[in-house]
Amino acid sequence: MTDRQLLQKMREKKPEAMKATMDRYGRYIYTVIANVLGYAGGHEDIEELRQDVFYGAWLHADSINGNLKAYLGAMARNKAKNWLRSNQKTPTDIDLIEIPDQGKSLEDEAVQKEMARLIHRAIHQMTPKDREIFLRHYYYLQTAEQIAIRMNLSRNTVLSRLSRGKKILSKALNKEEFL
Amino acid sequence: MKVDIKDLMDCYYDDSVKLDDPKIFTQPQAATEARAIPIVVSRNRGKKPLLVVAAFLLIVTVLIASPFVLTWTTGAHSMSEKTAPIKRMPAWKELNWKLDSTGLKLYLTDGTAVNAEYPLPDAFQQLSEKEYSLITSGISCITAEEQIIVFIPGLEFDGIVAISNDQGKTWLEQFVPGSGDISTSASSVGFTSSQRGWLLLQGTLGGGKAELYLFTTKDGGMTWHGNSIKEQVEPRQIDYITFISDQEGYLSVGAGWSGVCPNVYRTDDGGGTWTPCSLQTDVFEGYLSIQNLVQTEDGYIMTCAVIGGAGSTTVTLQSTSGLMWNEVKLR
Repeated sequence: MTDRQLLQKMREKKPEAMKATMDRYGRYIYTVIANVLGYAGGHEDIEELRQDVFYGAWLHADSINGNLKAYLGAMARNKAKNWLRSNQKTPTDIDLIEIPDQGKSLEDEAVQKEMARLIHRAIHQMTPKDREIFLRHYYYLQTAEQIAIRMNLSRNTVLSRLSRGKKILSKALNKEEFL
Repeated sequence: MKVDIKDLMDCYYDDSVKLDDPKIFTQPQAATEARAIPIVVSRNRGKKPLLVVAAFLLIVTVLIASPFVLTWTTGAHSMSEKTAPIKRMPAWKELNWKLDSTGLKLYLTDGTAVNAEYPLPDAFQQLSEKEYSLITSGISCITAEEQIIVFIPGLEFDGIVAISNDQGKTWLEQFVPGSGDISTSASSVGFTSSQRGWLLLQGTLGGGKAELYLFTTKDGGMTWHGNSIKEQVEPRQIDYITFISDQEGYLSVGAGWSGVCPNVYRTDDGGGTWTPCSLQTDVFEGYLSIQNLVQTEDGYIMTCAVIGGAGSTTVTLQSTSGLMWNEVKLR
């Protein structure tokens, strides 16, 4: 069964679609959540969040446009991020970036789509190593120390490459106007 | 307006970073980062004696089993022949259509001369003018073994794939279920082995958007199964598609608002899912259209035309994984 067929069956609220989705993406979602939580969460926390992700997909199957794996992956990352925040285990450093204010909410679907496009463009202008560091830090919420260990780099190297990535993102977001 | 980058990334999706095994994080007593380094180091040290033993056992096993392996390989020759990758006709040779007094033919050309002519099935010779024009908008390919594969779009019914292994003397014709519903505007057909092949159909939706359907066969063209891939690939016209193996393929899509990236996609499950490739290039205007993609000893090399951009008209990129591509500066 393709993802598209799976999604269709989820929209029709067929229970077997839920099981098939969990079989197909359960391990992947577990891995994403575990990577975001790092050492802050245990197996039970990860499992609970994983169930939330699938239940959310089940409830909102009608609004899932496109790639099922991408939807689940992004949802897993965001739920894990919120868990860290609500359990006050989020990394304390907050990296603010200036974006053009077009009078629309960041929750607006069109704004999010455009934002995703600009982020994608910025990220792919980075060197492969800078890109990985940037994603590990800002997407998977790993600290500079964790990244340094994972990638066998010094902490200062990680920080300087993060700074470089941030500049590229800032440039991309402010060069083009939003919708 | 200022926002935290981590919140900004909520609208993004990544699957390019190689994630850590969850077991690392869920060990008893929740390991701390300070413990992470010794864990990694000691694991590597611990593996060394095991690796030596494993290598020794492997060598012994191979030595014992080698006569059996050789016999098995020889005996299985006829079976492996069926699934062995087939060679491609050189890129500068292509099939074209020709209508003369004796009927419609396919001919092979290198751009200057006709190298060979292939008659088509009788059923294709008694068609109306409209049907002729439909056929000549169809697609075809020829392998180095001179297996000819032709797709004829259906006028009111499903399209047909016709395959000949004897220079057009005899043809195997099979309907492609579901293809009649697609108003085909451009397409591509090819085989990666004598049994496995692909057929890409694109229907125009207007506004430059396209329906994209990928049909595949696992039995030499006897049966075809199709799926829409427009949700995985930005639904614009595909200007190039190729499969390196049964599972691994690449395609590039035409101009879209996303600019250069991502317009090259890769599949490693026979076209079931497509992942955008990362293209590390100095080209920031226009988009890249693959012209040729080949597998080398170290990975892959592809040549792309830069469409709609300023500066270079072609770029060459190389990759070891097939997902991350870096531009090669040629002197």
